[in-house]
Amino acid sequence: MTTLRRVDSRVVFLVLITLFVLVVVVYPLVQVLIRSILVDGRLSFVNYEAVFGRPRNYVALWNSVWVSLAATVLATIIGTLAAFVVQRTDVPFKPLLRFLLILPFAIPPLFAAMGWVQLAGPVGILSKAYQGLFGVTGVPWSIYGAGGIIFVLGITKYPFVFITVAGALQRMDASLEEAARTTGAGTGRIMRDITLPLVRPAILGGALLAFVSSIDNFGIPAVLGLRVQFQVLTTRIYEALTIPDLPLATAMSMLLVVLAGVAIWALGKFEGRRGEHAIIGGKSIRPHIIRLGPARPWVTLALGSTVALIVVLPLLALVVTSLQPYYGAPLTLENITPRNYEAVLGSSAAQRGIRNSLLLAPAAATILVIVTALLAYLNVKARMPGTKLLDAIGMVPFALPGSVIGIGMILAWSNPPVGPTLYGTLWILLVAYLMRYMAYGLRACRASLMQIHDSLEEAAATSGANRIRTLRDVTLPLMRPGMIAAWVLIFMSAFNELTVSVLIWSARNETIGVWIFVMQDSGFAGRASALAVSILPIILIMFVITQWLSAERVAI
Amino acid sequence: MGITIEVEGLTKRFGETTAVDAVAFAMGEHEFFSLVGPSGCGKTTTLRCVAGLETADEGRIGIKGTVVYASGEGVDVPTHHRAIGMVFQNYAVWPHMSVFQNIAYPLKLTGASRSEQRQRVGRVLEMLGMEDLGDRKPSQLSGGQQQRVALGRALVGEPDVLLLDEPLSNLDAKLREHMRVELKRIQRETGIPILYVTHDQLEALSMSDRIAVMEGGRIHQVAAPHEIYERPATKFVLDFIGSVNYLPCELLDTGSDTIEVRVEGGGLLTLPRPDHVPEGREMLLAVRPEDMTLGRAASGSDLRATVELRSFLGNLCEYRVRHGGLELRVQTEKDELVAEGADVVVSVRRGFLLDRGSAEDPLARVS
Amino acid sequence: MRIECIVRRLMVVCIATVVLAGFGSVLAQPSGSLSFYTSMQVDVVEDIITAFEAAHPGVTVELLYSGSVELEQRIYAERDAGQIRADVIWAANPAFFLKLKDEGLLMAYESPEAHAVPAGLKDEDHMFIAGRVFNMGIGYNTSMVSEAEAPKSWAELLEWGSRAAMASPLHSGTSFTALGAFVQNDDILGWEWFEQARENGMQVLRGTGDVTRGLTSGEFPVIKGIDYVLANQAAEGAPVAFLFPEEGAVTVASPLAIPAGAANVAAAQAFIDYIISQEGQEFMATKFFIPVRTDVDPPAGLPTADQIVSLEVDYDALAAEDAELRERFSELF
Repeated sequence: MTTLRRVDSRVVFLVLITLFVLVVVVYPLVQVLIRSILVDGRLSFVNYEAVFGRPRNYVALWNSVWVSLAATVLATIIGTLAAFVVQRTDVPFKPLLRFLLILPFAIPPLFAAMGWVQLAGPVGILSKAYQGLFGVTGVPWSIYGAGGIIFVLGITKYPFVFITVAGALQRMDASLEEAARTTGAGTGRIMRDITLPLVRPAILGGALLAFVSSIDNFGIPAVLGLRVQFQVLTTRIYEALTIPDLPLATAMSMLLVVLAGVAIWALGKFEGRRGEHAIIGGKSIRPHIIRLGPARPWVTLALGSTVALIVVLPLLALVVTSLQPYYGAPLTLENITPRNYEAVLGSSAAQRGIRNSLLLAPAAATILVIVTALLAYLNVKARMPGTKLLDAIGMVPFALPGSVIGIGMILAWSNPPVGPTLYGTLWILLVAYLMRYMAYGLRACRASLMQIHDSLEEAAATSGANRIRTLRDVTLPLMRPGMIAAWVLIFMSAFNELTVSVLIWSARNETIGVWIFVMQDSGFAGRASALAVSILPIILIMFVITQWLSAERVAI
Repeated sequence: MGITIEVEGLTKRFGETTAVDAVAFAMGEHEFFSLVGPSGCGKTTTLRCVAGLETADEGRIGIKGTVVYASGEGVDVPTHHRAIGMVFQNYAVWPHMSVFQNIAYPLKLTGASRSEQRQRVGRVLEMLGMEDLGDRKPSQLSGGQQQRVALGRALVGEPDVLLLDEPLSNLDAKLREHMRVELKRIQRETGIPILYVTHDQLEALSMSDRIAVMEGGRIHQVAAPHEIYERPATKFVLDFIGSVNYLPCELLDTGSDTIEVRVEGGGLLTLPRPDHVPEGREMLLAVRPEDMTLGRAASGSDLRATVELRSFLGNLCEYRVRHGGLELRVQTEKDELVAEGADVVVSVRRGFLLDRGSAEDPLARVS
Repeated sequence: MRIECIVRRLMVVCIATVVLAGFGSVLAQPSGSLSFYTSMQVDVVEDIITAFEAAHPGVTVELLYSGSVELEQRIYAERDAGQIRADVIWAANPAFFLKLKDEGLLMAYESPEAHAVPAGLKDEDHMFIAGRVFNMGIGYNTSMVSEAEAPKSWAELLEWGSRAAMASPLHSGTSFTALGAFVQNDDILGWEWFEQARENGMQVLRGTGDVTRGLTSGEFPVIKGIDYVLANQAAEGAPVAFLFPEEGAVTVASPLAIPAGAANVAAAQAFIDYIISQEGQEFMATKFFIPVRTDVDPPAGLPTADQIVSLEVDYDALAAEDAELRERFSELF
């Protein structure tokens, strides 16, 4: 009887989470799937035949894979190095660096791409400077094409790696390094032989997020690839949507799902046995901070200039655009005007957008962190049957291009068989964000749970704590840095989400992302930039709060 | 004498392998009881079954007269309702709580008032010699201090029994020695029964009232340390506890008071007659290093050997001596120094005789 | 199939008539909220809404702006889900409205103001009516290209090779109409023009906004541009100008329509009345649109709707060939 009661509470949670996954993820996905295989009311694979019948699609598929892989390598190198330097060395200005390093999340990829066109495009600021400096016409690089896409994807997706690796480094049991130090190994050797293998799951986890988010990105290849006829899957899907051939688009989306599935499966293989992840043991030792010594100014300079190049410069481009009367106006004092700010901040739609985003993003982040933490717990710690599958399903939407999620949402919530019609309300945006960003929560919570050694929870049980108390007093507080990281990730992504929102927003239910896009799309690059710049302080404040929260009690 | 923990027929399988195989023992009221054995012998699994962290497949566990697990009756009291305290190998000190909060946690769960918590945690801190460290975070403590916090947390709720899972194995040698004494002292002071798991025979011998030696999921022998050492029940126990030399030999003659054996490579030994004489002639004579002496001549022995190495250990002296193909380890008092390279006669004070063919037989004690 | 289509249209007309008759008495004073879908520039739209709401204090306009392709996607998705949620749609691609009309998704309305609008700018079955006219022609950067150097015809534009740009018809509604117009006039332009453009390296950008930004920033000295967009930019101080190509501009009469089953028909009709009223069209002219009414003057420097030399466009054919055109274009570029 006692056995029965013990299982009960977890079964209740499992049922609730299953329902959540079914409603938020499976139901819209099924709607999309049905569109791809149901032709005139009958099961048919003509859409898939159409996808595979064309060499162009193979080229796009191949481009998607190799460009995303290359971008992931770039993102992983930048993210891992930056995390090591910021977390484990004595570089100065750490809080500032940390903030700047995750700032790319605050900028929609579409804007990053446009910022780079403005910087390094044919008439970009950097290009003009280069030409002036060397007295040549033309530049030895091209922002358009595979190279540009890889570069911009890499430098917008590296925060995925940075955040997960920095978190893992923060939680790592430093005694393992201490042990290596006693054998006389040098710092470089320790990093290579001990630390790197220990944070490998985090690096791989971050790299997976970067890969999948690269492969499902549309904004960057759309701006940098379409011009030179460089197609990837998402741009092909977009074309199919514009024709409009929804079934074809959904069939191609299913290809993306398969690709992402392969990536997730491969990660599972890499992750290996659970034991390797128990980085937080019961022993607590403050991680060793490497003194850079004479190299300190050089490392600082290298990291500083990298941050300046990949984070500050595109932001500056955004600021410059926001102050110009028209796009590309000469950079002179007379051409600085506050007009864009006045116009955009005075509009009631933009104000509503800010208000709505300030409601939606924290709501989505909070709900997802709670749900995914529970699911991860039931999966990793309680090892309940079926939770692995739920976890895998939760990852799927991450691989879907935003426009397909948007269409799935419209199909699912315009005339649902049961429940309220969410289409046309603010709620559909919330549900869409829950679907789109569930994977962020799942990865982060899973990774942080895997790093908590079982004995920490067992110690609570032997102290007399039941399962709920153990969860509340031990597991959750230890998961907190991971959960906060997930919250920040989801908040920032949802705060200016664009692709999905643009399809499903409705009058009076604008969001910031929507309004930035609307401004951009209808020709007001200046106003779009002004709005994007205006929300940076909000993101700054959120960042400071979360930093403070995560540092407050866990002094590991 | 009351019984603290009673385990009967405990069996736990992980898939195909049987980790614990019909284990049974009973612990006395204030007893320090150790489960000792090589890794994978089932000692930790047994402990975790007692704690309720693993659910056994068969058997019965009682703590202080309460049945907490009985496979037949479907009884399985969850861990948090078993009145136990436990210390883990890796300390499992919660990094997000201060020393005080860690130790006070079991009290907090029972709803003890803040003043009561302060008082009882204060007592524990004092006992552990950590009065000033209550506000520290675990990351600011040394490994030994963290281990003491874990111990304090396990003790503070005055549990029926304390379960310790290799608590000292992560400490350095010096600290380990210190903590051995400390643990024993605390146990004597509080009178709390301790079930202790270790792979370190020295730890088990030095602290325990009784020891259960385990191997392959089964208990070989349960006895007091000196008994285990002096009268090992099986060859495994003899092997695992202390060190031993094996001399292959042939049983020549059995008299009423003595027996005579010929050691492989020549050399006759006359030994006291053991409590029982194994059948057969091909024997192994097992002798602990300290049960041999070296001399120019000895009565009842013409086992000749050469001293190859001499190591001075402070309180005694250890030799490696060679007899044909055999290398023996001999420990003697330090005032009987023999030079390296000297030819000596080895005499045997006592040992164990066992049949070379059937190693499972009970040992015949020769002394 | 044909009969089915006609039956469907008849049904819609009947329903519309019934609805109109039923609400006839209420029509006098529209109220409530009006759901307005448009792909027009937001600042123009916001000003129009402000003026309309002042004239009809009982109505609140709920604006849903979207790029033309996204707007079409949304409307199709809403159709698939059972109901288009707009009361009024105002977009740039007339072929799209013909498709909606063919599917019976629009509601007929003959505005009392419609008499001033020439027949070419309204649907014969009153399913939609143009609310503004604009042209796609050639835009050039005046700081890089003098008026004399600027290409005067679509053919000359090809000579600029990769220094010229246009928006993708797959994204921009106006560019799609232009694609249809070029292809239909295959004696002078046709697919050959696009094939030549591809060969010469003309750049295809995503949207009109991208092309315009390319022009103002000097990345491209010449583009396929839109008159009112460039006029607005010029008013902000950007060095850009627009000219009508010799072969003829692509003239787009951007339609207004009420979807069948609209929730607030009275307000929708009042809204259309306001747009094509004299007051509404005079306002449009201030935003550099060519008025649809013959009795309102065009913006300074622009011709009236009937003076423009335009390429002939058969919107029915365009609506029918829609998917093939997009397919073929996406194969080409």
